[in-house]
Amino acid sequence: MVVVLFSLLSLVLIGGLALLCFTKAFSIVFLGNSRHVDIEEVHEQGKLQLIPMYFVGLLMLLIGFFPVMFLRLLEQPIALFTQTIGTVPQLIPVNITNALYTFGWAGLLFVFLVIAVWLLRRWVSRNKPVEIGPTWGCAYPTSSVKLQYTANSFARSYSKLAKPMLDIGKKEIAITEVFPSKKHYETHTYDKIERYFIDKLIKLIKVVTGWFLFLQNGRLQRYILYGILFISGVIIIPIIIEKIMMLLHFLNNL
Amino acid sequence: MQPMKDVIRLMKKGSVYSRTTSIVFRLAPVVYFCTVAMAALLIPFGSSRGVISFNGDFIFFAYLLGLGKFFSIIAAMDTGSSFEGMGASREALYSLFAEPAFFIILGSLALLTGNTSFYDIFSALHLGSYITYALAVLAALVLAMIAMIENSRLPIDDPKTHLELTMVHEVMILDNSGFDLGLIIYSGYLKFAIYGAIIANLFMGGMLLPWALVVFVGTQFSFAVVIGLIESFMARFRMNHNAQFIFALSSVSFLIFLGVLLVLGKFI
Repeated sequence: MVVVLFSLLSLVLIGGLALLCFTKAFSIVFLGNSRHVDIEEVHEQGKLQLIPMYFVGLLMLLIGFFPVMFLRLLEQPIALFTQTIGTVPQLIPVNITNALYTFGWAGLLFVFLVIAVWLLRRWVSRNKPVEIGPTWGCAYPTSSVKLQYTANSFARSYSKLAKPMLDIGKKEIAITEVFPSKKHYETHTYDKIERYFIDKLIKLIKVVTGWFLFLQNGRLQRYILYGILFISGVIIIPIIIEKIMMLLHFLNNL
Repeated sequence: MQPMKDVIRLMKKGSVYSRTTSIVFRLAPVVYFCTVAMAALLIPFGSSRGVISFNGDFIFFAYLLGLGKFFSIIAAMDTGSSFEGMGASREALYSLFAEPAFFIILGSLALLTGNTSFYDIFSALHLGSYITYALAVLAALVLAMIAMIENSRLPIDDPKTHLELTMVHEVMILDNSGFDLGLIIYSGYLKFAIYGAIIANLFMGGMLLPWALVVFVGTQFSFAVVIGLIESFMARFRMNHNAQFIFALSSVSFLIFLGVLLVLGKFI
């Protein structure tokens, strides 16, 4: 139970960090004014090219709303590995299945509630005046789009607290004059844990795999040879092992 | 009833939208309100289950409120305002710190009772030992403070301040008006009532309806009085002290966890 509680705590921290991370990523990429002039020319692809992505999105929603249905589909293939074919596989405990059922229906109820309140909003506001104006700027209504929050500024309060775990590189030409000329401020943040525990390991893996780079030589004949060698190995190695076992058995019985 | 009258008045008004905003900005208040309304359906009442109740529903509860917060943050970022971006950043940080406190409390009570749904946890809370009432009082204190953070009230945030730089939640909704603003404000009131109901459940778990009603009304009234007193006599914290304070709440909830381990004899 204590393990469960600590798992739960980790889940919460992940949840909190995910909230911070996804709001940052989504907001900076999709919302507000364009932060760079060059991306204003970027346009969405045609609808036909978007259909596969909508399909993937729809599948994800279906998994969210009807998780049990998908778990049931997975049970048979998983049973192949857990050797429970022939018996009724019950990989998921009943209480969890029940909770997932309720969870799925609660999710659907939520969607219907959102639609209902949206329709209510439209009905209540149908004859009300709607004005479009500038964003509230506290007496600076025509401020530059550069004043918008960036990814770094959004995460700044968090990165200040997590400073011991971060490498923050800063390039700055500080303002010293009353009427400053062009100034520059740039920060690059990198995760120390990633640097010491992941990057170093990846570097080591790259060194080891580098020894076998000669295999990737771009010659089609060689690749076919690798395939033949692999298939031959799959066939011959069990035969060799079997012969060795027979020999050992023979020697044991001498 | 003046606050409710204000909400109704707002809902009858027209709206002003920033030309920077997209559909996200218009949808966000609706989603925010619906998450809070759905969360309310999960709260039990004495010997009656919540409208929706299942194992692990308190996780669903926390993530529903998280979803509402997600939408309110992205709506603020949608305006392109640096003020609203600042509020959104602060809100995301405070949520990051407030969530562990809530989960440690509910997780500890789940450990104590051996149940994982709101109704089962509260029903079985006081069946073993009277020391659980002491834990409930401590949990009530932390939950009351979480409610203050969630609703951006003093001492974390001042909802009546007029200076954008010192705001948290209020600065995020500067561009909302009319029906949308009414929904957001009403969701805040609803959230307060929800946390009040959770606190009441810490003491009325399993009680019959008449007694449960008395405890519920008494707790909500006391909760309102305590908030009124705090808001009348306490100044808001300095902005850089807020994170420390919210993190301290997690430490207090950790005390509850240790108390639970003591009760269960699993301390070592």
